[in-house]
Amino acid sequence: MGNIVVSPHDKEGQHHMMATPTSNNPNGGSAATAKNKSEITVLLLGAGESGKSTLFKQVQFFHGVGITHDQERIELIEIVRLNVLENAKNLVAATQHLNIPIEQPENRETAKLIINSLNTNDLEDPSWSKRLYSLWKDAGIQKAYENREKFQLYDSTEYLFENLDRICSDKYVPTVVDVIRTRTKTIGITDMKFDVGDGKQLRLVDVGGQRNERRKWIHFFNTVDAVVFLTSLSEFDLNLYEDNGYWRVKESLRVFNEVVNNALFYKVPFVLLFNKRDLFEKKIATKSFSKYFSGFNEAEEKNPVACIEYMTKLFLNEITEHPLDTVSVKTLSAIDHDNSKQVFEEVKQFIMTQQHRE
Amino acid sequence: MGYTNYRGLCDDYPTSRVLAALTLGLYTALVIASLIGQFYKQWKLKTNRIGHREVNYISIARNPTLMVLGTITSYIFTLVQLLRVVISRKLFPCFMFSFTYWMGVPGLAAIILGRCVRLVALTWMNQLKVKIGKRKLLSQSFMLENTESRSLLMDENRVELMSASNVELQSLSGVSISQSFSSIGALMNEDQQDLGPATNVESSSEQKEKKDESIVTRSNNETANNKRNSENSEEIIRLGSSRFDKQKLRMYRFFTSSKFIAILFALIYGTHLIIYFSVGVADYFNVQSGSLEKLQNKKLSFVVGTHLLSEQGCGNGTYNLVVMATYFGAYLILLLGFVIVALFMKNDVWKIKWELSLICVGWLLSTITYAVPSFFSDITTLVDYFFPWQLFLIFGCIWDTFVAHFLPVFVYQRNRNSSKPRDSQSSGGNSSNHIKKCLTSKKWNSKFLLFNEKSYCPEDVMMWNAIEQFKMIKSNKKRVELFRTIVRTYILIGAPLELNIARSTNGIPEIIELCNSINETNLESISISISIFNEIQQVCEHNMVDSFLRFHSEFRKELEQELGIKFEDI
Repeated sequence: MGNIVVSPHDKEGQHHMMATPTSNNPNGGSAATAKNKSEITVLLLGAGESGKSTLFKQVQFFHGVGITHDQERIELIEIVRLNVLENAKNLVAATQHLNIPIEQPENRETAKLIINSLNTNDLEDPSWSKRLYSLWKDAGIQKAYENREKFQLYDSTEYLFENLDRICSDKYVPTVVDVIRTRTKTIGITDMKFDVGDGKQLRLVDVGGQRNERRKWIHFFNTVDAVVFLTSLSEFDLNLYEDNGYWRVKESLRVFNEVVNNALFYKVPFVLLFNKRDLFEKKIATKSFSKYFSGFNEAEEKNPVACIEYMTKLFLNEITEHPLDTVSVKTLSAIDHDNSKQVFEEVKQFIMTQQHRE
Repeated sequence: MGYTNYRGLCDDYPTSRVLAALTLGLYTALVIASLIGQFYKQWKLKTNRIGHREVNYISIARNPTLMVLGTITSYIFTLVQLLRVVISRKLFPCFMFSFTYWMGVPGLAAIILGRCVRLVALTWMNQLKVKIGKRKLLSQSFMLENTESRSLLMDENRVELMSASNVELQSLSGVSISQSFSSIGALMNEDQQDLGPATNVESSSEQKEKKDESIVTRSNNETANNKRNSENSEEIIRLGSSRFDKQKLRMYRFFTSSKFIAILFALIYGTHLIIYFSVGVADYFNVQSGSLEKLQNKKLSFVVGTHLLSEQGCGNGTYNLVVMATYFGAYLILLLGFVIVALFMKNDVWKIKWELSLICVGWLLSTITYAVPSFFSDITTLVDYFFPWQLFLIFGCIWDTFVAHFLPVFVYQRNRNSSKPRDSQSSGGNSSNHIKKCLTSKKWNSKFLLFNEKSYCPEDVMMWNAIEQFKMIKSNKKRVELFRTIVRTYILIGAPLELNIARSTNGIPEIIELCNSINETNLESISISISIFNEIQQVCEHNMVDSFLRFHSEFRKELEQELGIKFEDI
């Protein structure tokens, strides 16, 4: 299994993502000895659902890899539909859990089918588009959706339900946006390489974020040249997927602390990305931000800039070992193509200049 | 039965011929149906058109070669016996007829013998496999942790001195790495406190508190995990040495293989052919050199008296009957031993024990009805022309084919199909189907596992396999043991191969509660549903989607050629 190097010019041929992380090789050299090597390894780290893979997919997309090709996206039909089903299932389960009845009898029928027998193949039938949409618009489901901080639900829910008429069709081919929006839990570690000029290659490593996945990160810690740590701004009202009683922000801070203060990263440029800015801005318009942060001035809670500033402080306070001048903080909306492109370009520049300085 | 002397040979009455023709026609239809059915179903199983979780009643539990050989042997025996009646005993080539007397019993006994040996070997093999599989599960998780700890030690030259023992202990016992590197961080803090002040003075006291906390939790974890560790290794020792088991496994595999069946048949047929021909040759020289009187003596004249060279057909001679009876006696004793052992086998997952008992009862009845009246030659001689007495043996053959071939092909296999319509229905080209296909193929399963190991995500495939294994276990005690091992290896938080899975659903709270309630005293009495892990298995399949797509793009061609895995074209 060789590593396929992807360059922006490589438009047709090898669009297969390589699957084998090269650091299987224990002689890969440590960060300290590899200042002038031609490959820059950048780790995308962060807790679960912070957007690492979304950014990873966006970067793939800028470089003409994978999802730019229709054929590759066809393979993802299943994932998109699985997302729809999982969202629907979670919503229906939540109505039961939260004691909110689904109002329309026919929607209750649909809900029953979703829980018991519906599979992704059934979604080829366009009639499901209407049924699922009608369920989505049911007052009970909408009420559950408003209370979505009380259970686990993907960020993609609204988007997918609004696009059911395309998805529930036998001619459906996922669009790039569909693929970016759908949630696939990353298991294990994957990477991609692309040229960044100067005869250098950037190797971007994507990892899973849940607790059990984090113990795998250490395999890559010795070959790292830069760390990009993502955290979701909009998780301030949510609990963990893997431990549904643990506040996500607390987990993010804990993971950030562990990573940023790790001795191996002491000399490595570090980028902290506050992701999901778009969702965050929507969320604070309806939800109280200060309710979750006792140290925050309540009067400012509708001001996204103030909120983000507060979050930034909170995270930077965790840094005890890492030199602050090699830490960069940015906000990001990874589902937004232009924004990710711009932010990633900035991140790249930051890393390259830091590399240069050393 | 019938006259041995060809001069006294009469033709059968029409009733006899009609009965023989009817039986032969019926049996032919049964044999053809069974054979065609078997080949069709085997092809379906091979191309995986039957749902993947289908129990395979044809080519795993039963040996297709044995099934075909058994049916063909019975059929040839029947064909010769009945064609002779239908065509006329005067015309039918006599050597063929007498040949069945020499070969019929050994041939039919060989089939039953083959079945018995297979049943015994299969049961023992499965018991052994469960044992080995369990050990593998444990050692695999150990290996993985070992490599983890090794790479840890190699990678972190700086940290090594301070915390090598810690890291090794912790990763060996399966504490999450994030925890272990938090403790490394804590140790680093301690060490570097006098080298430079913390960047943020405000948070340093808080930091210290945290550090203390993490040290406390670390030591707690250590003791708990050490305990678990030693439990695991005890289990490994208890399971015995693996090389011996491997040899045993190889032996069982041989006894359940087609090769064994072929050797068994070759051996039995060979022996009896040698006997047949030696007697024949001896008799021939007797005839050549002997007097006419000797020829009249039936007992000595194998060649003529049994009409090996007769041109005018023959009846079934006493001499042949004696040979048959001798063989029958000898094989009866041999088979009795094997059948009794086989019927004592514990499990009967694929109904092979049930099948064997049915066949034995069938043969017992048919041979008794055939043999007992044979002692009174007045009865048989008179009746034989109106009703071919050997039909009783033929009924035994038909029953044999029906139970051992027709039933498994058409009843057992189909039943399963109709009870699980959703499996066969989902033939569409989606990835979860592809994943199942890939996982159920032995070769691709291990390939996919290897691929996932390289991407640091083997736990889902390993768990999936463990669940499959779990479902196969029949012994309650073993199932409870495997249940515990699975929970400890994959499900508990901090387990060596902890799955990436939501803890509040998928039946996990119930599973953990059940696991905690198991102790040494109630090990036997607890019953665990075979479907307890079904939801988790599904989550594992979902978890694999991501890595499967990458796996697929690497082995696109082979997957399409070998498993028919292909995503739709545009």
